[in-house]
Amino acid sequence: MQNNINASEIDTIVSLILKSARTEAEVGRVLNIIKLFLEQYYFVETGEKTFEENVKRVKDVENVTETDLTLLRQIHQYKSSSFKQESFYKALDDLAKALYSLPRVTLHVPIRLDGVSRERIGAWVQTNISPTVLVSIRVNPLLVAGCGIGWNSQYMEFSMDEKIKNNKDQLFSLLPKL
Amino acid sequence: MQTLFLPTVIVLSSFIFGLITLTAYSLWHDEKNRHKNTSVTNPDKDNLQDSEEKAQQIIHQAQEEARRILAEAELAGIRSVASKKVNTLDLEKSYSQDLSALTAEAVKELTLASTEMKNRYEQFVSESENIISYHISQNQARLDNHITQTIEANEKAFQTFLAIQQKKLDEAFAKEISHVEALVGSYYKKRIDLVDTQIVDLITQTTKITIGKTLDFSQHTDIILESLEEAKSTGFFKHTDNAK
Repeated sequence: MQNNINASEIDTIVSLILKSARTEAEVGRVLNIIKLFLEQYYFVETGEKTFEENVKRVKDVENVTETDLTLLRQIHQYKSSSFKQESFYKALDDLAKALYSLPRVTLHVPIRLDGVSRERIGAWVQTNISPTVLVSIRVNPLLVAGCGIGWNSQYMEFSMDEKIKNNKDQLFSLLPKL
Repeated sequence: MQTLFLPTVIVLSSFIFGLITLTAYSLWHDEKNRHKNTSVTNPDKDNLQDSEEKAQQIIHQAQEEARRILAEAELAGIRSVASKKVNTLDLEKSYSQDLSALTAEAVKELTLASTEMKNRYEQFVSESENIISYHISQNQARLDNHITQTIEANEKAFQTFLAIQQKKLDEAFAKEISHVEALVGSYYKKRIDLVDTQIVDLITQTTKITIGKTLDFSQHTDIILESLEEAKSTGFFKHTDNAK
Protein backbone atom coordinates (compact mmCIF):
# COMPACT_ATOMS: atom_id res chain seq x y z
CA MET A 1 0.00 0.00 0.00
CA GLN A 2 1.41 3.40 -1.02
CA ASN A 3 1.86 6.14 1.56
CA ASN A 4 0.69 9.43 -0.10
CA ILE A 5 2.04 12.75 1.04
CA ASN A 6 -0.36 14.45 3.48
CA ALA A 7 -1.64 18.04 3.35
CA SER A 8 0.54 19.23 6.18
CA GLU A 9 3.67 17.97 4.49
CA ILE A 10 2.54 19.59 1.23
CA ASP A 11 2.04 22.97 2.92
CA THR A 12 5.47 22.72 4.50
CA ILE A 13 7.20 21.81 1.27
CA VAL A 14 5.22 24.48 -0.68
CA SER A 15 6.41 27.10 1.77
CA LEU A 16 9.97 25.90 1.31
CA ILE A 17 9.65 25.92 -2.48
CA LEU A 18 8.14 29.44 -2.47
CA LYS A 19 11.24 30.66 -0.65
CA SER A 20 13.37 29.27 -3.44
CA ALA A 21 10.99 29.79 -6.38
CA ARG A 22 8.77 32.88 -6.58
CA THR A 23 7.75 32.63 -10.22
CA GLU A 24 6.02 29.91 -12.27
CA ALA A 25 9.21 29.23 -14.17
CA GLU A 26 11.20 28.89 -10.96
CA VAL A 27 8.60 26.51 -9.54
CA GLY A 28 8.99 24.28 -12.56
CA ARG A 29 12.75 24.40 -12.22
CA VAL A 30 12.64 23.48 -8.54
CA LEU A 31 10.19 20.61 -9.10
CA ASN A 32 12.55 19.26 -11.77
CA ILE A 33 15.50 19.46 -9.32
CA ILE A 34 13.51 17.51 -6.71
CA LYS A 35 12.57 14.89 -9.30
CA LEU A 36 16.17 14.53 -10.49
CA PHE A 37 17.35 14.30 -6.91
CA LEU A 38 14.93 11.53 -6.01
CA GLU A 39 15.51 9.60 -9.24
CA GLN A 40 19.24 9.80 -8.56
CA TYR A 41 18.67 8.50 -5.11
CA TYR A 42 16.33 5.64 -6.02
CA PHE A 43 17.14 4.51 -9.55
CA VAL A 44 20.85 5.12 -10.24
CA GLU A 45 22.70 2.16 -8.75
CA THR A 46 26.13 3.37 -7.93
CA GLY A 47 26.38 1.92 -4.49
CA GLU A 48 25.57 3.75 -1.33
CA LYS A 49 25.40 7.48 -2.12
CA THR A 50 25.64 10.44 0.16
CA PHE A 51 23.40 13.52 -0.05
CA GLU A 52 26.21 15.55 -1.47
CA GLU A 53 26.91 12.93 -4.14
CA ASN A 54 23.31 13.04 -5.32
CA VAL A 55 23.22 16.83 -5.29
CA LYS A 56 26.40 16.91 -7.28
CA ARG A 57 24.78 14.81 -10.01
CA VAL A 58 21.76 17.12 -10.05
CA LYS A 59 24.01 20.13 -10.35
CA ASP A 60 25.32 18.62 -13.55
CA VAL A 61 21.85 19.15 -15.06
CA GLU A 62 20.33 22.13 -13.23
CA ASN A 63 21.61 25.27 -11.59
CA VAL A 64 21.17 24.59 -7.86
CA THR A 65 21.21 27.54 -5.43
CA GLU A 66 21.74 27.52 -1.69
CA THR A 67 18.04 27.86 -1.21
CA ASP A 68 17.56 24.85 -3.40
CA LEU A 69 20.00 22.91 -1.26
CA THR A 70 18.04 23.75 1.84
CA LEU A 71 14.92 22.50 0.11
CA LEU A 72 16.64 19.28 -0.99
CA ARG A 73 17.80 18.58 2.55
CA GLN A 74 14.21 18.86 3.67
CA ILE A 75 13.12 16.50 0.89
CA HIS A 76 15.91 14.15 1.95
CA GLN A 77 14.36 14.02 5.40
CA TYR A 78 10.93 13.29 4.00
CA LYS A 79 12.12 10.61 1.54
CA SER A 80 11.69 7.83 4.05
CA SER A 81 8.04 8.82 4.69
CA SER A 82 6.39 10.91 1.90
CA PHE A 83 8.85 10.46 -0.99
CA LYS A 84 9.38 6.72 -0.99
CA GLN A 85 10.61 5.02 -4.11
CA GLU A 86 7.22 3.56 -4.96
CA SER A 87 5.26 6.78 -4.42
CA PHE A 88 7.41 9.87 -5.02
CA TYR A 89 6.09 10.50 -8.53
CA LYS A 90 2.58 10.65 -7.13
CA ALA A 91 3.85 12.89 -4.33
CA LEU A 92 5.50 15.20 -6.89
CA ASP A 93 2.26 15.40 -8.86
CA ASP A 94 0.33 16.36 -5.72
CA LEU A 95 2.96 18.94 -4.94
CA ALA A 96 2.82 20.42 -8.46
CA LYS A 97 -0.98 20.63 -8.29
CA ALA A 98 -0.78 22.43 -4.98
CA LEU A 99 1.80 24.89 -6.31
CA TYR A 100 0.06 25.64 -9.59
CA SER A 101 -3.26 26.17 -7.85
CA LEU A 102 -1.83 29.04 -5.83
CA PRO A 103 -3.03 32.58 -6.70
CA ARG A 104 -0.73 34.33 -9.06
CA VAL A 105 -0.05 37.83 -10.26
CA THR A 106 0.84 38.21 -13.93
CA LEU A 107 3.44 40.79 -14.84
CA HIS A 108 3.89 41.92 -18.45
CA VAL A 109 7.42 43.28 -18.68
CA PRO A 110 9.35 44.79 -21.64
CA ILE A 111 12.48 42.60 -21.35
CA ARG A 112 13.46 39.13 -20.25
CA LEU A 113 14.51 39.66 -16.64
CA ASP A 114 17.49 38.02 -15.02
CA GLY A 115 17.32 35.91 -11.84
CA VAL A 116 18.15 38.76 -9.52
CA SER A 117 15.39 40.90 -10.94
CA ARG A 118 12.88 38.04 -10.71
CA GLU A 119 13.94 37.43 -7.11
CA ARG A 120 13.45 41.10 -6.23
CA ILE A 121 10.05 41.24 -7.83
CA GLY A 122 8.96 37.91 -6.28
CA ALA A 123 10.05 39.06 -2.86
CA TRP A 124 8.09 42.28 -3.27
CA VAL A 125 4.98 40.38 -4.32
CA GLN A 126 5.17 37.87 -1.46
CA THR A 127 5.83 40.67 1.00
CA ASN A 128 3.23 43.16 -0.19
CA ILE A 129 0.45 40.94 -1.54
CA SER A 130 0.65 37.47 0.02
CA PRO A 131 3.42 34.94 0.90
CA THR A 132 1.60 32.28 -1.10
CA VAL A 133 1.34 34.15 -4.39
CA LEU A 134 3.20 33.06 -7.49
CA VAL A 135 4.44 35.50 -10.10
CA SER A 136 3.87 34.78 -13.79
CA ILE A 137 6.11 36.86 -16.02
CA ARG A 138 5.29 37.54 -19.70
CA VAL A 139 7.57 39.53 -22.00
CA ASN A 140 6.03 42.30 -24.18
CA PRO A 141 8.65 44.57 -25.79
CA LEU A 142 6.01 47.12 -26.84
CA LEU A 143 5.67 48.24 -23.24
CA VAL A 144 9.12 49.94 -23.47
CA ALA A 145 9.44 50.25 -19.69
CA GLY A 146 7.38 49.62 -16.57
CA CYS A 147 4.89 46.75 -16.59
CA GLY A 148 1.30 45.63 -16.99
CA ILE A 149 -0.25 43.87 -14.02
CA GLY A 150 -2.92 41.19 -14.15
CA TRP A 151 -4.53 40.31 -10.85
CA ASN A 152 -7.78 38.64 -9.98
CA SER A 153 -9.13 38.88 -13.56
CA GLN A 154 -8.26 42.61 -13.79
CA TYR A 155 -5.50 44.34 -15.71
CA MET A 156 -3.70 47.64 -15.17
CA GLU A 157 -0.86 49.00 -17.23
CA PHE A 158 1.92 51.11 -15.81
CA SER A 159 4.14 50.97 -18.88
CA MET A 160 6.01 53.80 -20.55
CA ASP A 161 3.83 53.30 -23.62
CA GLU A 162 0.69 53.88 -21.55
CA LYS A 163 2.22 56.86 -19.79
CA ILE A 164 3.11 58.46 -23.13
CA LYS A 165 -0.45 57.93 -24.39
CA ASN A 166 -1.92 59.33 -21.19
CA ASN A 167 0.30 62.39 -21.41
CA LYS A 168 -0.13 62.88 -25.13
CA ASP A 169 -1.55 66.39 -24.84
CA GLN A 170 1.29 67.47 -22.65
CA LEU A 171 3.75 66.04 -25.14
CA PHE A 172 2.01 67.82 -28.02
CA SER A 173 2.18 71.08 -26.15
CA LEU A 174 5.91 70.66 -26.20
CA LEU A 175 6.07 70.12 -29.97
CA PRO A 176 5.99 73.82 -31.05
CA LYS A 177 8.90 74.41 -28.77
CA LEU A 178 10.97 71.81 -30.57
CA MET B 1 -116.84 33.21 -124.69
CA GLN B 2 -117.28 34.04 -128.40
CA THR B 3 -114.85 31.33 -129.29
CA LEU B 4 -117.01 28.72 -127.49
CA PHE B 5 -120.33 29.87 -128.87
CA LEU B 6 -119.70 29.07 -132.55
CA PRO B 7 -118.75 25.40 -132.18
CA THR B 8 -121.65 24.93 -129.85
CA VAL B 9 -124.08 26.21 -132.47
CA ILE B 10 -122.51 24.01 -135.14
CA VAL B 11 -122.65 20.91 -132.97
CA LEU B 12 -126.21 21.67 -131.97
CA SER B 13 -127.21 22.19 -135.65
CA SER B 14 -125.53 18.94 -136.65
CA PHE B 15 -127.29 17.15 -133.82
CA ILE B 16 -130.66 18.50 -134.91
CA PHE B 17 -129.87 17.64 -138.52
CA GLY B 18 -128.91 14.11 -137.49
CA LEU B 19 -132.04 13.75 -135.37
CA ILE B 20 -134.24 14.83 -138.23
CA THR B 21 -132.45 12.50 -140.66
CA LEU B 22 -132.76 9.66 -138.18
CA THR B 23 -136.47 10.36 -137.72
CA ALA B 24 -137.04 10.48 -141.45
CA TYR B 25 -135.12 7.27 -141.93
CA SER B 26 -137.14 5.61 -139.21
CA LEU B 27 -140.39 6.64 -140.77
CA TRP B 28 -139.19 5.45 -144.14
CA HIS B 29 -138.13 2.12 -142.69
CA ASP B 30 -141.46 1.58 -140.93
CA GLU B 31 -143.34 2.38 -144.12
CA LYS B 32 -141.17 -0.02 -146.06
CA ASN B 33 -141.78 -2.88 -143.62
CA ARG B 34 -145.45 -2.22 -143.62
CA HIS B 35 -145.42 -2.18 -147.38
CA LYS B 36 -143.46 -5.52 -147.49
CA ASN B 37 -146.06 -7.07 -145.27
CA THR B 38 -148.80 -5.88 -147.53
CA SER B 39 -147.17 -6.57 -150.93
CA VAL B 40 -148.87 -9.83 -151.20
CA THR B 41 -151.73 -8.06 -152.61
CA ASN B 42 -151.70 -5.62 -155.49
CA PRO B 43 -154.29 -3.29 -154.09
CA ASP B 44 -151.84 -2.26 -151.46
CA LYS B 45 -149.12 -1.61 -154.05
CA ASP B 46 -150.31 1.79 -154.72
CA ASN B 47 -150.63 2.65 -151.10
CA LEU B 48 -147.10 1.49 -150.57
CA GLN B 49 -145.91 3.68 -153.31
CA ASP B 50 -147.79 6.56 -151.91
CA SER B 51 -146.39 5.97 -148.58
CA GLU B 52 -142.95 5.73 -150.03
CA GLU B 53 -143.41 8.96 -151.81
CA LYS B 54 -144.72 10.51 -148.67
CA ALA B 55 -141.84 9.20 -146.84
CA GLN B 56 -139.53 10.58 -149.42
CA GLN B 57 -141.32 13.80 -149.16
CA ILE B 58 -141.17 13.80 -145.41
CA ILE B 59 -137.48 13.06 -145.55
CA HIS B 60 -137.02 15.74 -148.06
CA GLN B 61 -138.95 18.16 -145.96
CA ALA B 62 -137.07 17.08 -142.97
CA GLN B 63 -133.85 17.60 -144.77
CA GLU B 64 -134.98 20.96 -145.95
CA GLU B 65 -136.04 21.85 -142.48
CA ALA B 66 -132.77 20.59 -141.18
CA ARG B 67 -130.86 22.63 -143.72
CA ARG B 68 -132.92 25.65 -142.86
CA ILE B 69 -132.38 25.17 -139.19
CA LEU B 70 -128.75 24.58 -139.87
CA ALA B 71 -128.53 27.66 -142.01
CA GLU B 72 -130.29 29.68 -139.38
CA ALA B 73 -128.12 28.23 -136.78
CA GLU B 74 -125.06 29.09 -138.79
CA LEU B 75 -126.39 32.54 -139.35
CA ALA B 76 -127.19 32.89 -135.71
CA GLY B 77 -123.76 31.62 -134.96
CA ILE B 78 -122.17 33.97 -137.39
CA ARG B 79 -124.16 36.83 -135.97
CA SER B 80 -123.31 35.80 -132.52
CA VAL B 81 -119.67 35.46 -133.45
CA ALA B 82 -119.76 38.81 -135.15
CA SER B 83 -121.46 40.30 -132.20
CA LYS B 84 -119.04 38.69 -129.85
CA LYS B 85 -116.19 39.81 -132.06
CA VAL B 86 -117.44 43.32 -131.83
CA ASN B 87 -117.77 42.97 -128.08
CA THR B 88 -114.29 41.52 -127.92
CA LEU B 89 -112.87 44.43 -129.83
CA ASP B 90 -114.73 46.77 -127.55
CA LEU B 91 -113.49 44.86 -124.60
CA GLU B 92 -109.93 44.94 -125.89
CA LYS B 93 -110.24 48.61 -126.60
CA SER B 94 -111.74 49.23 -123.19
CA TYR B 95 -109.17 47.02 -121.63
CA SER B 96 -106.42 48.82 -123.49
CA GLN B 97 -107.84 52.13 -122.43
CA ASP B 98 -108.29 50.98 -118.89
CA LEU B 99 -104.82 49.47 -118.91
CA SER B 100 -103.36 52.69 -120.30
CA ALA B 101 -105.28 54.69 -117.76
CA LEU B 102 -104.28 52.26 -115.03
CA THR B 103 -100.69 52.30 -116.21
CA ALA B 104 -100.71 56.07 -116.32
CA GLU B 105 -102.28 56.10 -112.87
CA ALA B 106 -99.73 53.59 -111.64
CA VAL B 107 -96.90 55.60 -113.15
CA LYS B 108 -98.37 58.67 -111.57
CA GLU B 109 -98.74 56.91 -108.24
CA LEU B 110 -95.27 55.45 -108.53
CA THR B 111 -93.88 58.85 -109.44
CA LEU B 112 -95.65 60.37 -106.48
CA ALA B 113 -94.50 57.56 -104.22
CA SER B 114 -90.99 57.86 -105.52
CA THR B 115 -91.03 61.59 -105.05
CA GLU B 116 -92.50 61.15 -101.58
CA MET B 117 -89.94 58.53 -100.78
CA LYS B 118 -87.17 60.70 -102.13
CA ASN B 119 -88.42 63.66 -100.12
CA ARG B 120 -88.79 61.56 -96.99
CA TYR B 121 -85.35 60.05 -97.53
CA GLU B 122 -83.81 63.46 -98.05
CA GLN B 123 -85.61 64.66 -94.94
CA PHE B 124 -84.42 61.60 -93.03
CA VAL B 125 -80.88 62.14 -94.25
CA SER B 126 -81.09 65.78 -93.35
CA GLU B 127 -82.52 65.03 -89.92
CA SER B 128 -79.95 62.29 -89.41
CA GLU B 129 -77.20 64.68 -90.40
CA ASN B 130 -78.54 67.19 -87.94
CA ILE B 131 -78.83 64.60 -85.16
CA ILE B 132 -75.40 63.16 -85.86
CA SER B 133 -73.92 66.62 -86.12
CA TYR B 134 -75.60 67.54 -82.83
CA HIS B 135 -74.31 64.41 -81.12
CA ILE B 136 -70.85 64.88 -82.60
CA SER B 137 -70.75 68.43 -81.35
CA GLN B 138 -72.06 67.32 -77.93
CA ASN B 139 -69.52 64.51 -77.73
CA GLN B 140 -66.79 66.82 -78.93
CA ALA B 141 -67.71 69.33 -76.26
CA ARG B 142 -67.90 66.58 -73.63
CA LEU B 143 -64.57 65.15 -74.80
CA ASP B 144 -62.98 68.59 -74.79
CA ASN B 145 -64.31 69.17 -71.31
CA HIS B 146 -63.08 65.78 -70.13
CA ILE B 147 -59.65 66.30 -71.71
CA THR B 148 -59.43 69.73 -70.14
CA GLN B 149 -60.35 68.34 -66.73
CA THR B 150 -57.88 65.48 -67.16
CA ILE B 151 -55.10 67.83 -68.17
CA GLU B 152 -55.85 70.10 -65.23
CA ALA B 153 -55.90 67.11 -62.85
CA ASN B 154 -52.65 65.82 -64.32
CA GLU B 155 -51.05 69.22 -64.04
CA LYS B 156 -52.17 69.47 -60.44
CA ALA B 157 -50.93 65.96 -59.66
CA PHE B 158 -47.67 66.68 -61.44
CA GLN B 159 -47.23 69.90 -59.48
CA THR B 160 -47.91 68.01 -56.26
CA PHE B 161 -45.49 65.27 -57.32
CA LEU B 162 -42.86 67.87 -58.16
CA ALA B 163 -43.34 69.56 -54.81
CA ILE B 164 -43.04 66.24 -52.96
CA GLN B 165 -40.01 65.22 -54.99
CA GLN B 166 -38.44 68.63 -54.44
CA LYS B 167 -39.03 68.29 -50.72
CA LYS B 168 -37.61 64.75 -50.70
CA LEU B 169 -34.68 65.91 -52.79
CA ASP B 170 -34.01 68.79 -50.42
CA GLU B 171 -34.22 66.48 -47.44
CA ALA B 172 -32.03 63.85 -49.09
CA PHE B 173 -29.59 66.54 -50.16
CA ALA B 174 -29.47 68.02 -46.67
CA LYS B 175 -29.09 64.54 -45.20
CA GLU B 176 -26.36 63.72 -47.69
CA ILE B 177 -24.61 67.01 -46.96
CA SER B 178 -24.86 66.28 -43.25
CA HIS B 179 -23.59 62.76 -43.84
CA VAL B 180 -20.73 64.02 -45.97
CA GLU B 181 -19.90 66.63 -43.35
CA ALA B 182 -19.95 63.91 -40.71
CA LEU B 183 -17.76 61.72 -42.92
CA VAL B 184 -15.37 64.57 -43.56
CA GLY B 185 -15.32 65.38 -39.86
CA SER B 186 -14.78 61.73 -39.02
CA TYR B 187 -12.11 61.43 -41.66
CA TYR B 188 -10.45 64.60 -40.40
CA LYS B 189 -10.57 63.31 -36.84
CA LYS B 190 -9.23 59.92 -37.92
CA ARG B 191 -6.42 61.56 -39.81
CA ILE B 192 -5.63 63.76 -36.85
CA ASP B 193 -5.79 60.75 -34.56
CA LEU B 194 -3.57 58.87 -36.98
CA VAL B 195 -1.10 61.74 -36.98
CA ASP B 196 -1.29 61.82 -33.20
CA THR B 197 -0.78 58.07 -33.06
CA GLN B 198 2.13 58.34 -35.39
CA ILE B 199 3.60 61.09 -33.26
CA VAL B 200 3.05 58.98 -30.17
CA ASP B 201 4.60 56.01 -31.93
CA LEU B 202 7.48 58.20 -32.96
CA ILE B 203 7.98 59.35 -29.40
CA THR B 204 7.49 55.80 -28.12
CA GLN B 205 9.97 54.36 -30.55
CA THR B 206 12.41 57.11 -29.76
CA THR B 207 11.92 56.51 -26.06
CA LYS B 208 12.19 52.77 -26.55
CA ILE B 209 15.41 53.09 -28.49
CA THR B 210 16.75 55.51 -25.95
CA ILE B 211 15.64 53.50 -22.91
CA GLY B 212 16.61 50.18 -24.46
CA LYS B 213 20.11 51.46 -24.87
CA THR B 214 20.31 53.11 -21.51
CA LEU B 215 18.34 50.98 -18.98
CA ASP B 216 19.83 47.83 -17.47
CA PHE B 217 18.05 44.99 -15.66
CA SER B 218 18.28 46.75 -12.34
CA GLN B 219 16.79 49.97 -13.65
CA HIS B 220 14.00 48.07 -15.44
CA THR B 221 13.32 46.20 -12.20
CA ASP B 222 13.26 49.48 -10.28
CA ILE B 223 10.67 50.86 -12.69
CA ILE B 224 8.62 47.63 -12.43
CA LEU B 225 8.71 47.80 -8.66
CA GLU B 226 7.64 51.46 -8.85
CA SER B 227 4.74 50.37 -11.03
CA LEU B 228 3.80 47.69 -8.49
CA GLU B 229 3.95 50.26 -5.71
CA GLU B 230 1.76 52.58 -7.76
CA ALA B 231 -0.73 49.78 -8.34
CA LYS B 232 -0.74 48.98 -4.65
CA SER B 233 -1.34 52.64 -3.83
CA THR B 234 -4.41 52.67 -6.05
CA GLY B 235 -5.81 49.69 -4.14
CA PHE B 236 -5.46 47.38 -7.13
CA PHE B 237 -4.30 44.46 -4.98
CA LYS B 238 -7.16 44.83 -2.51
CA HIS B 239 -9.06 42.49 -4.77
CA THR B 240 -7.40 39.49 -3.24
CA ASP B 241 -10.22 37.00 -3.62
CA ASN B 242 -7.96 34.35 -5.09
CA ALA B 243 -5.13 34.96 -2.66
CA LYS B 244 -4.77 32.45 0.11
